[in-house]
Amino acid sequence: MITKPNAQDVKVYECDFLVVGGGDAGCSAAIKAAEEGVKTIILEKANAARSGHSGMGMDHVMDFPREGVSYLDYVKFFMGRHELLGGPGALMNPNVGYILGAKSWWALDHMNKWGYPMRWEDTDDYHWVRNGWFGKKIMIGVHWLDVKPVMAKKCKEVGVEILNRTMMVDLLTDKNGKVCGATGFNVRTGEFCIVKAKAVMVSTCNLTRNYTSETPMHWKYKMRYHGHPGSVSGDGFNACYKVGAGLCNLDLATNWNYRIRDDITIPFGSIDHGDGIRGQWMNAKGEAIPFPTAKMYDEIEKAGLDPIYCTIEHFNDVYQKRNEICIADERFVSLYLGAQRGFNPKTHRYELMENRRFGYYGLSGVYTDENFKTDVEGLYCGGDTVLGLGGCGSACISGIIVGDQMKEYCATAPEPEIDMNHVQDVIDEVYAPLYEEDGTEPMEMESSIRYINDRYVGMHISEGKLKEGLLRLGSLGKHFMPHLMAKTPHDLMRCIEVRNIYDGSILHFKACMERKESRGNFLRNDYPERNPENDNHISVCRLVDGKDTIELMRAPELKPEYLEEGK
Amino acid sequence: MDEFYGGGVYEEENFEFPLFKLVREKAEELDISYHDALVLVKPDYVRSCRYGDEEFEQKSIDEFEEISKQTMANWEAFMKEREGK
Repeated sequence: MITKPNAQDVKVYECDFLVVGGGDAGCSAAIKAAEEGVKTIILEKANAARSGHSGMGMDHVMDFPREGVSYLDYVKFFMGRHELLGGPGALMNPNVGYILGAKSWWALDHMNKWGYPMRWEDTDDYHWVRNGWFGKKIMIGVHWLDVKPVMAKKCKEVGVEILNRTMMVDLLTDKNGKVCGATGFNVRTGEFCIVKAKAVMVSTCNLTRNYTSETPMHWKYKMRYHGHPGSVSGDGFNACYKVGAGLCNLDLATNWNYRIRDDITIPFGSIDHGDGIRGQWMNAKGEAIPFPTAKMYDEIEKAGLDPIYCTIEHFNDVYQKRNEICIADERFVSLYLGAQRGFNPKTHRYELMENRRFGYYGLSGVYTDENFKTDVEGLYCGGDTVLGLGGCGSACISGIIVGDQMKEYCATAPEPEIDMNHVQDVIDEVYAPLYEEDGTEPMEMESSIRYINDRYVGMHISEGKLKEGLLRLGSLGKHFMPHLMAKTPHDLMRCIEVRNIYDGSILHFKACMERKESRGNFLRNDYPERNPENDNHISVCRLVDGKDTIELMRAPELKPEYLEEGK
Repeated sequence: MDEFYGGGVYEEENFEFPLFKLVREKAEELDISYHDALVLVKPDYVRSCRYGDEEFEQKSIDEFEEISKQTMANWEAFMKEREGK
């Protein structure tokens, strides 16, 4: 039986550096900081030994500029890969892309030193694979089935304290608005805690669970979210937003937009862009078509040639075997499920459904500078939480960069001062569902939110649909959200998650309404043309004086010193 | 209609991934988990995948690029036809 605690009685942890989310970025940041003597704690909702993007494995790590690829080339790639789907122009901070390239080799040294298996055992060398967008061998193929246990073990070796099964409820700020810790909640015992810290890094992936869970793209295996399901309820997005950080491009949403009809999705992982041979798309008549953007899909639909399919039947036998290796490295469970069901990737055609958004990955995220510092003092972000970042490679690099700054930052940062009245308010809200009888199940609420996102945004966006969707969300917020009910700590976790999912959805709708144009895969029926004035602008949601604001912010220029250094 | 009831109108062959077959057999032989069996059988399987054989890879990629060129040509013809309507 769990009961609501009093703020004065809850356990208080103290550290210099708090990492929220123990995935690739979180573990890497924590190890780096702790190695330099910074007292570090990780808050991890699951278990750091198997959580996060690489929790089930990984088959490639990107990117390490080489083969004549300069850092400036890499910045173009970093920006450009989102342009096809988000429309032309800079949609993020190019300086972040620069630093990811420029610090990648330095970060790789750390990953090697810490025992991350970067080299293949046979050759004791890196296995370089092509980045499909770039066409150059700048990604490292890895056998990372068991990388997370290695990361978690290293954390412990260097003295990082990991609070497993403890999710962040929200971030704490002092009287000057500086982030000074977080509240946490043990999802198994129901115990509440406060973690005081001089600096906090949030690396809790992104938000995806406001849309119906679908395998986001054919190369993402049997994984119905891009990221770990527990990680994509937008906990970090919402917490950062509430303390004043900017949440970006929630209208454009993610960059991989197809839904796949198949329940069994055993596709072709990094082989798709890593080994130089991609899947083949085809229309309903079996005629080969290029990888279709939303506009192309629209034309196919109008011509009556949908549904469209993807296949790997053109892979030769060796590439089929390489495909198996990729699956075994990144989602061994997929190989197991496929084997159980007699599924044959050589003959199967993956049906791609409507092209629309399903979450916020890469193209969306919290705005940071190239040191991964947000606009809020004391608050950093890492990994997929950051605008522009996607994947475990950039997650590790961003984490190491943040961890590297902590010794100096914490030496001069003020001691954290916690507002206990605020903590009591948080406790009251967290435990309220325990006292609700015959209320709303959190998963019932989550399903309703997903339905509204699916139904009222969709592939073709319009003002009328968005307004109706917002009304329906408002109805949920007014009549059902206050009556979420829970009986166990696990239920309470779901209640916290669904609040984050709900808040993210509201911002998504509002951001979509503000963007009165079509660009990339963002198709508005009522504004079918692109507004060139919006090129090179980032849409930023920010909480100002308790109100949601959305503005288009001009993307920063690449710093002159990087232009010079990066040639 | 009978042919739709198990008559093979749409039926995928019962396929087992070659790698998983090795995993399953090793796990049964040693009475270990699939995960542990994978760790044992994967290195040999990786060696059979011709990684590092640049000539083979280039040939495979060239063949694919030919398909891609034809695909783009087909698409351009399709769009031209659509625009004409």
